[in-house]
Amino acid sequence: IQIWMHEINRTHPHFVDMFSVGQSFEGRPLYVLQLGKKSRRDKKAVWIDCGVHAREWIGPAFCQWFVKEALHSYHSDPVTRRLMNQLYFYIMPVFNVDGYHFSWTKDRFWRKTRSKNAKFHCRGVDANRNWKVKWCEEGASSHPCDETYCGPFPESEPEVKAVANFLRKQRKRVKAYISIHAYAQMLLYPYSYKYATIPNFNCVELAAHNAVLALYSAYGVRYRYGPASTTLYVSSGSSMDWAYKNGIPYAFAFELRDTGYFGFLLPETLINPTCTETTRAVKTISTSLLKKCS
Amino acid sequence: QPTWVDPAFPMKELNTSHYPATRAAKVAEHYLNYHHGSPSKWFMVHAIERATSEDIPEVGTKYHIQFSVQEQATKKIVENCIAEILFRQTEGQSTPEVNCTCDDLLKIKTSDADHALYHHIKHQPHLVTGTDIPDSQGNIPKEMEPLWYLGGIGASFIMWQQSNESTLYNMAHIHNVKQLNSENDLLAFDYVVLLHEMVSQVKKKKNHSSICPSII
Repeated sequence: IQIWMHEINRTHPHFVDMFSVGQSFEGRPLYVLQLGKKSRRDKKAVWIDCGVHAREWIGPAFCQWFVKEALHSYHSDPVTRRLMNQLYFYIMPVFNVDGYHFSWTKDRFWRKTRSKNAKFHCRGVDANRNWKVKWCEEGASSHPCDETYCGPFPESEPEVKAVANFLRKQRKRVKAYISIHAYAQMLLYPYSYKYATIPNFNCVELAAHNAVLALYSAYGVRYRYGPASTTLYVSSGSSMDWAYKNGIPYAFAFELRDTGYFGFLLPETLINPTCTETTRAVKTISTSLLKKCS
Repeated sequence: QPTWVDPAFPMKELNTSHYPATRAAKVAEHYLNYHHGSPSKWFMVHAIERATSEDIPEVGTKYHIQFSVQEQATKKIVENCIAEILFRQTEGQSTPEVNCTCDDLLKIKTSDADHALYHHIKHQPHLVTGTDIPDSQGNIPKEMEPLWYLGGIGASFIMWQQSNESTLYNMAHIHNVKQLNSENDLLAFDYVVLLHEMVSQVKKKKNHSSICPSII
């Protein structure tokens, strides 16, 4: 994936900029691609991260697909062209690089990061419970050996800290945050940590509704959508809730295909259709940014 | 026939997209697969049309779900499934009580394929084995598919037993399957499967044995 990113960067100088936001626990660079027609520095931006959880392999595949699709269809698709001209997309294909590597080499069902714990022999923190928003309350665990371990303190994970720093720095421009997960076939928005309605519910709900419709238009696949707490489960310290609290008005988490038949082990033949339909949804959300909504 | 209105206990209309309905429907899915699944028949909830629940004091919560399922091998959709799922309020885990019927469930005929599988395995010179189904990339060799389904049926029984209002189970992986020796006409298999529980995100390794009778 790194080699591919370098290649994309090299071959699309007017549309792509590759940079690193920091280093993983095991010292791997955390690469991000800035995607969009290079023009003014202050264009609005959309952030998309994939692979927060190591075993959700369809995520990184989607991030790569989205970049490929955006670059290939710039000249042929007016919607793509408009989005690439008016926005920057910050795409992080593999958020949890250490965990992803571990899932390819040692344990296919690994979820967390690979950070070492001072007291226990268990490694890793749930990178989607480590953000500074109602940290380590309901739906997260304080035990290092658990799958939803929140970490010793918020932003303890270098991966989380690096992305949080970037988003804090860019908060004036970033208008949408999208995190790609699997599986359940859902489009979720805040809150995860409580049962309450967000202030801009009307705008976010409309964007989600249209996104799910666009996704359905590809192959007839049904996605549920709604607040994460009522649609999936209550969880605290999630990146989506943090992004929203940090001032990003459209914060979403996708749970891609399927609903448990293959689960995490989605076969290669389903990568194309999953990515194709999800691209429609993400483009719809991005287009919503360009419209006024109060 | 499930009653839709009982004046003694108020019915709560549930949002079909929210987790109380989807978790209850998943329990019905496990029930269906255990009772009606076969090595060539596997059901997944397709769409939930309507869901209600009622709290029964001292007993627990009963859900009524109207939904459709999709059979995964044929991609056929079976509409008009109705399920009643009772989660009892007990000290520890108790198996949810399920009543579930679908109108056209029996229209999906797989007896020929299942019989053929039985005879195929019966006449193998060696005991059948398999590991890592699906593999990391989601691949399943064609000849392993029936054993994958069979493992799923056994897992469905366990997942049904382990379910409650705070769980959502799926079978994630078959670690290995071994055909056991049997003196009679039955085919028996020993499975080690990995179950994925969505709410805790825990993966549990479970052992189960599946028996494949000669007549289905």
